[in-house]
Amino acid sequence: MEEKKDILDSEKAQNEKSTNWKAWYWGLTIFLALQIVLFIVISNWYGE
Amino acid sequence: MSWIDWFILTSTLLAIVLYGTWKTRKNKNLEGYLKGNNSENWMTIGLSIMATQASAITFLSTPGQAYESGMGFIQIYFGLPLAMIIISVFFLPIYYKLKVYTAYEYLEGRFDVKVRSLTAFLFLMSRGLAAGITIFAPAIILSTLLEWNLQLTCLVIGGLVIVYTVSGGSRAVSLTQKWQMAVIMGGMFVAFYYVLDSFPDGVGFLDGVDIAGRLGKMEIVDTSVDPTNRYTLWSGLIGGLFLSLSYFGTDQSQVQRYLGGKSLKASRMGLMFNGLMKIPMQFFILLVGVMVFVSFQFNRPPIIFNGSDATIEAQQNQQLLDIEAEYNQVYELKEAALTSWNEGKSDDFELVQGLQKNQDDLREEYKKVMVELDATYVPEDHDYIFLTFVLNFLPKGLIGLLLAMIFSAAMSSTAGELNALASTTTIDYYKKFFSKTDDEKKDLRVSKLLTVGWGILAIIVALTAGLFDNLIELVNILGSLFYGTILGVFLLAFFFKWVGAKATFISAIIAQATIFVIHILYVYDFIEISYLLYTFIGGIMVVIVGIILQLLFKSTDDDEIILDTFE
Repeated sequence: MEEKKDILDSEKAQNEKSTNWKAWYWGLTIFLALQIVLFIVISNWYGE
Repeated sequence: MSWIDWFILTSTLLAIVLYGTWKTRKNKNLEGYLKGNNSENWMTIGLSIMATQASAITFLSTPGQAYESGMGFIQIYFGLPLAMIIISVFFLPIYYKLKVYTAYEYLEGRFDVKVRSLTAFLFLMSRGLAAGITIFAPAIILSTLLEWNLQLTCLVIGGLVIVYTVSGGSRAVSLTQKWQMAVIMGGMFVAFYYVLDSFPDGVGFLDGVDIAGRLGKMEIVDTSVDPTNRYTLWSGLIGGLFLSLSYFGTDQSQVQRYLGGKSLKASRMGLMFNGLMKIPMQFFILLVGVMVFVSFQFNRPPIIFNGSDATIEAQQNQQLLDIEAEYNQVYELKEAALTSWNEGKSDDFELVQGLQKNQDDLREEYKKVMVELDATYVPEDHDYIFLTFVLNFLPKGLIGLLLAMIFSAAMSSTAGELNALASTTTIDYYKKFFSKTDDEKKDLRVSKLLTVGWGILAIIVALTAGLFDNLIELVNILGSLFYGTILGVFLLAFFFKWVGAKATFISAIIAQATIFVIHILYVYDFIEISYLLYTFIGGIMVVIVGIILQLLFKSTDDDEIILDTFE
């Protein structure tokens, strides 16, 4: 039982390590920047 | 309302409540009840986070906000994705490592029991009252427009939430929120379709955007640094970041959502999902409001949207009737000018803009006279705009779906709040100070009783809310008064690990007292300040005063910081 739990824990840890979180954070930041740029373009389009 | 609307409304709500209760009926322990046995996947967490934040007033008020002031409100969400990253990097791993039930539990290990109890108390103060308003705010709008009984509406919303929150705890809240979000977004898409459908022939979506843009509704970003503008790029990025950090990182109603994840990865993905989806979702809701504005360029809008809220005698006043007649006349002229422009017969859009301004001025004048004639009349009517459109333009059956959407939104955020209030009271007070034995069954029973207790309190607040004029704003202010201090304590905990308990506790008290003083000075007109800044000021103050005090105290025997637990 204990052994099974250890295996599950190590699988979880492996799974966690295999995710490239830095890429996620950069991706989210770039997505935010792109949205803001798009909103600025739309605002300027009708602002002039 | 037709029988088919009633059928769709009641069957949708009952199906969600029964589903939540049935799926979680086997909950037998406190961990299952408060953390859902850590079984949620990332999608459930992400939707649950979004559903907790989005209350009914979000879906009633946001389109109205866009109708009145355009898309600029979106800027307040610019800091949110950055907050998701910070919480994912710094907050979440610590909560997971220490296996906490509440965010405040962590503060005892990091500081001491005094800091933990103080922060939990501040949370209970601000969130306890807010839960009642989450019920009251949509109930007052529904009862005004549909002439439902206000007390009964509050009782139905509160009662349904209590049933499944008490029975299934955190897991029931998350599971039902997933379906409630489906109903909410489905309802918004249906509404969007019917808004476009209400446009006359020859006017499509892009024409609608063009008309809205020319009438000043598509100015989304304000890059100015004018502090008197509430919504700018900078206030959105900085103020929005602080607000989102405090709400998502330290408010138990949100922390509880992602602590129920089956792994750290699932919780992180849930936060990323929220960071990715929130701005597009809010953009869409605002766009619905802007399109409702365009629709009312071709379909005459009422001069005020909460007319049934005012006394009939007041509305029969000759001055008001004259203003309304002029308003209708201006509308006819504007509609003709707009149609002519749209068909290419005229290129004079300035005429349309001028007439729109005329119409807006007449609307304001009408409201001013209404207030003079009827002191009980509340001139802010933008919360009523979207529902007025729904009731007038949606076919039978779909009105029921849209009402189910509003009820779902009210129930999902109230459930998250009740669940968090009960968890904090159970873990941070009952288990800490009163329950000396580890009796799982008894703890679970107490936790359920506390959920009922908070639910009843929320209903009582909702039932008595009508006695106060401006309770909704009061609750927003109350939240802002406490959020800064709570956030400041957590910032010290995470980023200034050499600052100890004594310095943090005193700095939190000083910051809280300062915020109270600032607010009193504002109330008595000594200073001009937006309450949205309270979170920023409070948070920064706790950090700065805490650092200074720690430097003054240096390290004394009773104020040692145990770093290795947290690193």
